[in-house]
Amino acid sequence: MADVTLRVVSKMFGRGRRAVSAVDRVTLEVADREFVVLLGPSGCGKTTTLRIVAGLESPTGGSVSIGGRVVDDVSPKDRDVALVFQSFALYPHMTVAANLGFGLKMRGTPKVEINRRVSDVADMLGIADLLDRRPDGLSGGQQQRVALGRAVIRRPAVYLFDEPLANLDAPLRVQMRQKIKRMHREFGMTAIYVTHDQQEAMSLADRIAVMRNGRIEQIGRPQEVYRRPANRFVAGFVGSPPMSFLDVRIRRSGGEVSVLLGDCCWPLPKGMADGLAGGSDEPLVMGVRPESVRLSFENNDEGRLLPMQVEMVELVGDRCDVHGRLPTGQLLVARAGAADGIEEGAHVWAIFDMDGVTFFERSECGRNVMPEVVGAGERVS
Amino acid sequence: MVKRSWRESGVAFALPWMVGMVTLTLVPMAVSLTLSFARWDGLGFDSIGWVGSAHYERLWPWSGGESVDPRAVRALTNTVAYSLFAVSLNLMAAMVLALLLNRRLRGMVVFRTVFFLPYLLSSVATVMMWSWLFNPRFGLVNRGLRVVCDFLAMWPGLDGFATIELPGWLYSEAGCMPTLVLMHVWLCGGPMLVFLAALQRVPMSLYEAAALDGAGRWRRFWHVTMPQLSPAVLFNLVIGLIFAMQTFDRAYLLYNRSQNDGLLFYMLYLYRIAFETPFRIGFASAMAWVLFVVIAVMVVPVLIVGRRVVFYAVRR
Amino acid sequence: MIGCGRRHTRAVYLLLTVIAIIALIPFVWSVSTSLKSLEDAYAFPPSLTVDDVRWSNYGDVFEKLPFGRFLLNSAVIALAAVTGAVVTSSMAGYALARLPMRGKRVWFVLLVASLMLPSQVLLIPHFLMYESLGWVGTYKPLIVPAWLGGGAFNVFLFRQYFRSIAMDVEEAAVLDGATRWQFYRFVLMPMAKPVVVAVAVLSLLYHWQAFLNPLLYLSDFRKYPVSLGLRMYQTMAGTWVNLLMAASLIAVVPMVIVFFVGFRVFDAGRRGD
Repeated sequence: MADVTLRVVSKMFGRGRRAVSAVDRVTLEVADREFVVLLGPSGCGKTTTLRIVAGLESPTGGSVSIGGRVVDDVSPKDRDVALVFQSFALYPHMTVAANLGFGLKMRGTPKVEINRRVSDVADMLGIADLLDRRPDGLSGGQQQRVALGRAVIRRPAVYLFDEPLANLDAPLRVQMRQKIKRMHREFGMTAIYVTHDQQEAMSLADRIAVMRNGRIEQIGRPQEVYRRPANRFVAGFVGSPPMSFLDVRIRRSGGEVSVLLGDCCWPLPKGMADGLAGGSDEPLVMGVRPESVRLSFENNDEGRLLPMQVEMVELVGDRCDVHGRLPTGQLLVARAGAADGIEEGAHVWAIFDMDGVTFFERSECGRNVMPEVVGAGERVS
Repeated sequence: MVKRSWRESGVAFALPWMVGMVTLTLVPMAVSLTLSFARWDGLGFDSIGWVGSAHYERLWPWSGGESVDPRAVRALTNTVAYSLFAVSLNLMAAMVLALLLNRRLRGMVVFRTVFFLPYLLSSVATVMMWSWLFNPRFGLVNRGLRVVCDFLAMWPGLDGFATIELPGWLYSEAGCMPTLVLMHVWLCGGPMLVFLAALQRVPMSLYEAAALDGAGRWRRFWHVTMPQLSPAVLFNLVIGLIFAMQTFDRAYLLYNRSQNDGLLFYMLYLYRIAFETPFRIGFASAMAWVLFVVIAVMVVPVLIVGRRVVFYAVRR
Repeated sequence: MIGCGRRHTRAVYLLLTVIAIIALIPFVWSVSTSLKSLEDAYAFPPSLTVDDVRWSNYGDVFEKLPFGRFLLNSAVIALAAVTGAVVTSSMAGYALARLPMRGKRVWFVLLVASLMLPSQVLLIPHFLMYESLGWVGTYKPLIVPAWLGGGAFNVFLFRQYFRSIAMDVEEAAVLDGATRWQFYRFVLMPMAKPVVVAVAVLSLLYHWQAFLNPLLYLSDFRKYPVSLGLRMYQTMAGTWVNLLMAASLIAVVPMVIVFFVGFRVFDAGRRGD
């Protein structure tokens, strides 16, 4: 096991004016036995970052070290890393056993040892009865297990995963997710895991690094990223359904700080009000998670409830996501119980749990203005 | 950087081919071109004498005078005529057979094997079989024709058939070319397999869509099958022409026996010029380059037209 | 195909059968002749049926001339050449398809150009070169070129196939610790089995049937391959036409076997994809 450090790593594709920056000055430290997920939309540079760690791409700037050793001049096979591919990348002409053992064979491991470890790994992954089959005769889930086994069998210092579950059906994805999580716990593996699925990231990661345009927008524990997103992009990308953004104004009168939206006005809790920077009457964006919105059919608290017209109700098991429109024309998503009886076209009243809201600048990058979020959007130059 | 040693490995893999490219293609090309401007018997370098473009003038029928080599011109016309007829008929036969075979019926593999079988014979065996089959006196073909003629002669007014002279086939100056063309048609198994492979790649959904659009059998052939088949047609045509223009084995084997100038193919004449006394290496080299140009003149237009007409399916 | 009615099917069978019979006539006539005595073969009028079947002709083929030797010679030349062609053309194809190397574009243009260059332009320089190397009279001119690229067409075929293989597999192998050579040897070539078989079978056919090059470079008849050996039944002391036909038929048998096996492997390989 080993830690991984990326120092100001950049990658440009092409040359001169046509050059495209895929990874832009990324700095990341993955501790020994830590599970870090690189999360972002497609084209954000997360896979390129992973491939740089693997040594399949050479960075145009910066340096990578694994286990304290700078590996910039070390070929991929000598980096002691294993990569699980999205496409599985199994050798089509080899049996499952040969696929699993290939890496050991190439490294000159004695045959007896290879056989022993192949059967160990096959038992662990529940593919012992498939050892003589070829990949094209296996289901997607089985192929995925073989691909996983091919990485595990070498006991590498670092595991790299490139969207390994993207090609699987939804139920299988959940099952394999748990398998990977268990493996992480059992072996104490150091892992970097690339995905665009925020739910996968949430459930697997010790820390999540959210990427956009080749940069890391925020890195932190899943709860941190969820509760205190560094900016509007992270807030919008993490969480499903996504956070709603409402244009509000701040009013300061005496020691009181309150939020104004349309005809409504809410005082902020003491702790939050202290930290909020900026003057009075400042325009901000308030971010609200669906679970921080409560809906009722009656306006029982004049001046604090927002009228909302329900446009769409999505049922998710015992609860539902209610998509509605406020009088100001802004959209709001709320979570309600399935039994609450909210129907499309209904008029309801919304109120916010003010402990759960966040405030962003009303600018392009939409930085979070809550002071607890240190290092948000910070970049080393 | 990371993969310096890999960067070199490309050359390591290609090295044998690169060596071959230089020593077996580029250098010989230069040598051949140089020799085509010289007179040389190949017996020691002192005897090389430069003649400029004289060899090429001998091969240019319109250059006038006695310098033109009439046999070379005859050989070239023979070869071009043979190539055009033999290749086009060969491809037509191959396509018809491929279309007939392209269905899921029992026994198609057997037919495929039968039609492909001739392709496996070596040229020597093919020529031996055909010259025996078409032997004017002892061959099966003329025996069959004689029986038919005798039968026809029994009818009133047709008694001329009894004394009709049967063709000499490969043994006559007029008959040898048509017989060789026929033999080439018999050897259509190779192109047939190429067509068959192309046909089997045509997606069934295209035929179904065309059928739903109300296209009949004939229209389906022209609008679905032919476009999908066109790359294979182009491939077979170009390869077929290039090989036919270089026909040697058959001509050599038959000519040696009969000295029949109807069989004087260009490559055969070139071989005799170069490797039989008096060895005229320079002239033979010039002949080779002329043949190269003639082939290019035939093939390049086909490729240019083909590029426009041929439909290449977008893969993936 | 659509709309294959029963009557239509029957017509197709009929047509195919007629064509097949015509296509087989040369073979039938050869078989018939190969079983006749020499006098019967030259009897007039000729007949398709054989009164006095002589299987011994097939033994005589090997006794009158060293036909076994010819077959062996052909096998040696063809196997040596085919091995070289498959190995070196696949290596070059791999390099051109996916390996970084200097001047790759120029080499590729040369490859395509040499694809179109007819061999007769090179015939004389090759002969002069092999003669000055003292290779005339040996198998070297027939085998060595195959080990130096093995034909532009084969290189091209391999290049096209290797370009179609997903990059992931190569990267997986690299991370598994395979060198380029090991990847080529243990992953790429086994994956390319259909193309390997196609190239091997086609170049085997080419070398088995080769006529002009052996004719140019071999003079001692004990070194002759089958193609040249066959001709000797015709030129030696009048024509033993019955033996000639028998030998021609024997000579095609190895190729028929090779093609059958080749088809099997090729079809299986394609279905496996």
